[in-house]
Amino acid sequence: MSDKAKILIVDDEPLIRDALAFKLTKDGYDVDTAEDGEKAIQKIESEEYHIIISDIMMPFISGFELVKILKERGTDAPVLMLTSLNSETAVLKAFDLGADDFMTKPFSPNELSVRIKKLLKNSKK
Amino acid sequence: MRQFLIDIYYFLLALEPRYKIVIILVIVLLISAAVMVSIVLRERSRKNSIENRERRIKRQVEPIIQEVVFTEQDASEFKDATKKINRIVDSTLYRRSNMNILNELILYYHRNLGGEAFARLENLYREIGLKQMTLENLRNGEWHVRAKAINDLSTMRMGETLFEVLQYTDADNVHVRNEAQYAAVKLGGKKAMSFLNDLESPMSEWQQIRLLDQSRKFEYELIDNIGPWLQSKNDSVVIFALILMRHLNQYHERGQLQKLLYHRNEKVQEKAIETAIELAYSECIENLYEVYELTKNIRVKAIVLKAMGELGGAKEAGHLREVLTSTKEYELAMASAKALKRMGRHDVLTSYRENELSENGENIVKHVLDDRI
Repeated sequence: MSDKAKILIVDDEPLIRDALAFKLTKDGYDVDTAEDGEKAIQKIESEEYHIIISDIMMPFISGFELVKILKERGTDAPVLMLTSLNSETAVLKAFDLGADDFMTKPFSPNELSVRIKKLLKNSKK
Repeated sequence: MRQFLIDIYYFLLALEPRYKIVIILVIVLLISAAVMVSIVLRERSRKNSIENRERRIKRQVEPIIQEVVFTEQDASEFKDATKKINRIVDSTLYRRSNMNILNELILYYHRNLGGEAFARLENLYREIGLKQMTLENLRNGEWHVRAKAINDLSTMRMGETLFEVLQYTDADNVHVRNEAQYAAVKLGGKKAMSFLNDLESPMSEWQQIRLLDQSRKFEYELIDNIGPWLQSKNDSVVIFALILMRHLNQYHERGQLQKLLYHRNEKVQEKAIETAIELAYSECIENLYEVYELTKNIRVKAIVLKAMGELGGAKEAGHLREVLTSTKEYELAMASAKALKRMGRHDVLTSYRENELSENGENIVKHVLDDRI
């Protein structure tokens, strides 16, 4: 089994999904993608991920619902919300539901890398 | 076959006129339907071919853009990447259309990415010739192409195109003009707002909101030109200057408010009074009495009463009390009562003698004093 940290990117925008996957693969992570919440849940049921990066506005299951479901099922992987919603309400709701970090678009890819490292470090403690 | 057609012809000739009409109508309908179907199929195939080309270009270009945006590249690697992209979009027939696809792709990345990636995308935009193409669209396109070009240049922060963009800030077409004004402020900051000095076209309220939003970053800087804008012949520029004064705390031109309180345009008058309230310009209080007497506009009168409540003292409380007892205008009575409450003069509101207030007046006072509302 690979010792690389495994990351799941959930975003309905293919360009963002692919760009993130490219960046995080370059950073040395094992990256998997899902285009909506439903597919993300299917993947999480069959694989173990170290971090989940999720958009909020998605078809079928929104990012908020996804976090809620994951936390109810006791998934340990930290969830980083990456979204265009930048209202205080969205941030509070995300953290209230159990998200571990929150970033708004446009986002700096380098900042994202730092945050991922921090989340991985904290989850290992 | 010929005989068959002849038979049909004679058969139709022999029919009653009403059947002839029905048959002709059916034939016309069938032909129209066939034409429509062929147009739809042609359009669909054209659309499919465009979509396929778009998908192909994106598939080929995306990895190169990602490499440029997310990795450290030296000058020669960057040059190679731009050459590769140019080769992909190069085509005798479709070059412009391919460049438009590329343009949208880069704009999309730019809207979603920040930090260093942002600057790399801007560099790429210049080097692959998209800036040049957008400038050509701006110079030669229809109004909607020009408006889009200006929007793209400001989104991609092409600061060096500011001079060109400024040429369109008073353009005849409202959309081109609005985009150019917004782009000028975005690209050039407060200095670029000098286009307001000579602006002749009116600015819509929505445009003023957009420009204000973009100007918020100057909050703690002095905008030197506000003085001339307040004297502009273009009333929308005067209103916008007042909005800037109010929202960006531009106290240095407060003295000009006095003159604007008597402006011929009532909207300017209203904004000047609101600005005086916001900037606590109590020196204009005597002018407010004059404005109250001179104007016939109830809205302006009501704002004057509000300003008296916000900026005035005991004398103004007396005036407000008098208005509340004497006016027959509901709005003015309400404005007076609210102003007195804002002044903290509950004593005035509760000290009316019996029958001094009309029934309406009493209800207004009760309403204003009710803390549940």
